[in-house]
Amino acid sequence: MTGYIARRLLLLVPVLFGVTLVVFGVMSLVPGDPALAILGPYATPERLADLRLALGLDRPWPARYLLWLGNLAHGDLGRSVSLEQPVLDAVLGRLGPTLLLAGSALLLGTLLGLAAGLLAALRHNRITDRLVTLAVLIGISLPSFWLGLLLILLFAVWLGWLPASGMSRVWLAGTSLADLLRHLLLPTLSLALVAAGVIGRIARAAAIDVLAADPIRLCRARGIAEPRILLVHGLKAVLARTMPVIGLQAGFLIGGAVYIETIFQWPGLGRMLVDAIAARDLLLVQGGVLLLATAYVLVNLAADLLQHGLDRRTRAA
Amino acid sequence: MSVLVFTLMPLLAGCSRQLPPDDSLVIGQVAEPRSLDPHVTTALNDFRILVNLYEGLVRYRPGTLEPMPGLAESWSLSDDGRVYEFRLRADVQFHDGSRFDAEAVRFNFQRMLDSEHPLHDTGPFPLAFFFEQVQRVEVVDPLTVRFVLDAPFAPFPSNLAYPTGLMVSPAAVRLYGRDFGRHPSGTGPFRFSDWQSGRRVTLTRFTDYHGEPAASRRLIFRPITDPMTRVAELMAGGIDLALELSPDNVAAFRQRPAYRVLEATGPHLWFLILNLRDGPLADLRVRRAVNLAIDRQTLVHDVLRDTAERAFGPVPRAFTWAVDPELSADPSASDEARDAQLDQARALLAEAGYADGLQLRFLVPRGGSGMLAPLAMATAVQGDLARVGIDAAIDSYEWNAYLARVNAGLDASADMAAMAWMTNDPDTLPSLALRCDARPEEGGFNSGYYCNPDVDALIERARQATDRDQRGRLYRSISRLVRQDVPWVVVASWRQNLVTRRRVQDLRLEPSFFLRLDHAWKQRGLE
Repeated sequence: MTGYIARRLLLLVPVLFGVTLVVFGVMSLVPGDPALAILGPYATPERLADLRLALGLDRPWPARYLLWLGNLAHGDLGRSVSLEQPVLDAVLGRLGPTLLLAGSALLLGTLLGLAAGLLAALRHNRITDRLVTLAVLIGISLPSFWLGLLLILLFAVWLGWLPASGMSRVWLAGTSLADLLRHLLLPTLSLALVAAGVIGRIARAAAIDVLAADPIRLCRARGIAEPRILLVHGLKAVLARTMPVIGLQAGFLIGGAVYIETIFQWPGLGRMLVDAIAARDLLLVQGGVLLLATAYVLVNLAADLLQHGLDRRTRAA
Repeated sequence: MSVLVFTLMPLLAGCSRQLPPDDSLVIGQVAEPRSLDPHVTTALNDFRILVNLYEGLVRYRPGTLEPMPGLAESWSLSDDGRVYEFRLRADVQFHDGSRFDAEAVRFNFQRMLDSEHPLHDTGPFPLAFFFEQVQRVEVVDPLTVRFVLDAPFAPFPSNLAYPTGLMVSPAAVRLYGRDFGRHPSGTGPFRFSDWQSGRRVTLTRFTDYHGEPAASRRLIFRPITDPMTRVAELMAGGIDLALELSPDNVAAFRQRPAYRVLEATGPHLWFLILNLRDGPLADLRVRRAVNLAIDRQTLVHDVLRDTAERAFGPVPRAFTWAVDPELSADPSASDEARDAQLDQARALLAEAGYADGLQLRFLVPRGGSGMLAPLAMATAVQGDLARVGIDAAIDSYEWNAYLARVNAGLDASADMAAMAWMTNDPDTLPSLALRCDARPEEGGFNSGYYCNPDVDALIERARQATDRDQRGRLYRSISRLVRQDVPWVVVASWRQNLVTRRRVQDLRLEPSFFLRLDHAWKQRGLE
């Protein structure tokens, strides 16, 4: 098992190497550069050349990539030209909010998805099943940013119950847990409903299979109520089948958070990356992508390990 | 689901709207600032914070673009127009407690202009060329500073009033080095409190300010990039004022009594650069036809919903003293006049040999600083041109890629290109983008390759003239010549908008588009 984890972690190295190389290459090949973004309409060829020299952009991109790799080995991610601060400070400050948002959306999405899936399976082919399946379909089809706007309109503008955007009340010095939760609720919900749709479909199919399996039929023959059978004996099996999808959803949520972070002005990595790409801030993009890719790989590894564990326990049972 | 609702109930219960306190103004900005070092940043978004933190030797007189004394009480100009001497206020200190004096002024310019200066590496300073005529800065005595220029340069005071001329604390720059932009210190009515990335920049009233103390205790700038979210936050009460809303939203807020819409037309121009070197637009008759065919009134009123004003010449109308009132009258006010214009355009095209129509390639950015609604405007222009038989094919680019393409000069595959500029002096646009020597190959912005030696001579004379009335006359002559030659189709000037909740008082928008908030305050509890 330790060997397996070590191998998977080692695999991170080529993955990150590939991702950063591709990002660096693509960012260097698209037209425009940070010097141009800074100077805007004032960008004469002469001033551009001066600024490029000052920013170290005069060398060819493979050379700059190698330099970046060399600095990375010393833990130096460079300096962001669009934020005028070290990349490491910029990305670390933004990672927490993104993980918080994606994590809470994953948790809520999983709970809602599993609940919907199990309920539908227990009422298989009855009206509840149809309704739940319909709701799940709607969840999958809704673009999360559109849902986000509707939620803002309803809860923040009309009802005034929740804040429209941000992560805390900006006029307070610090933040309290209640304040954070109030700000977290709407963006989490917008992201979670989509994930819940996907997880719900898989969980429903898995639960229907589980209910039809021999050990469960035996339980039923013993007169144990079906919901109890499913929750006590079948849940692990359902979870084991749903886990890879949950892992994939985690990646989707980290990516999908870009839109939600923009709409809700959540101070996360996704929003920062969008701005960084527009400003052609290559090093900042690299730093952000590096962190996101690492998080993505680790979350999927965790999901695989969980599934592995669950499978073993079902087999033992 | 019901379980979820019940667990959320306690969170929602008692949740009435939570509004910012009365002594704090919360401003919905369009982006995260890049830096709070005024010599490093070039973004209008950042300038709106900076003018509350810092002051320059001169500033714009409220409601105008005319320089008036700021940190300098007065100034004089030598007879040869090359030496400016500024007398400084004696009672000024920086937020960090250090004194503002002539030595501090010299430090500010040397850091930007002298590559040997020990703190020059705290740059780059992209707009330092605003002061490239400065040969040296001399400290005459602690309260007198002298600028010696290479040659007379009339726009110098206007350039000093621009944010690139704001004065930073030398002590703070020495202390923080490259991170000064995150630890700013100036002499303005507000001092810096904190900057939480992606969340807010907070400024608080500077109690030792040399002038009238600020009316509000605190300013909080929030970056809200999504315009819909800015609208939602304003309606939900999370922010007190929102900048740069879309034309449709501004129109909607005008109908609502709980809000106030403020507007000011700036020294901005939105225009089409025409390719005078290659293709059909090298022919003056075709350029005139294009100019006649475009319906500015519809563009400004229907496409931009009056968030811009029609514009006609290369000098924005905000420079009232330099604009010819005759040139800014719209000849196409009535339908009949408009039809006559279209007939005239068709006749010109026929005369140029394009009676059966012609095709043009039209470059447009998809967004970008000051570009208003470029695609919608380009589509309307396309429709106008179609009415006289011109088939314009739109080529759209992302802003950054667009600048790279257009600033390099229009080649044979591009007939016209949309562009927008914010300027700070009538000199800016003509001298950077219309002179023969301002071709892209020589470091200018004359991407359409216009060249008229008479215009060049007038621009040079206007730069050297130190009398304002004389300068005004020269710019009017330039405008007339340019209007005959039609190197550009000048379409509109941006009318900046800001929407506030009605309780926000004593706030005005300046034509400079900067946002000084020292007088603004909020009426108590009135919602």
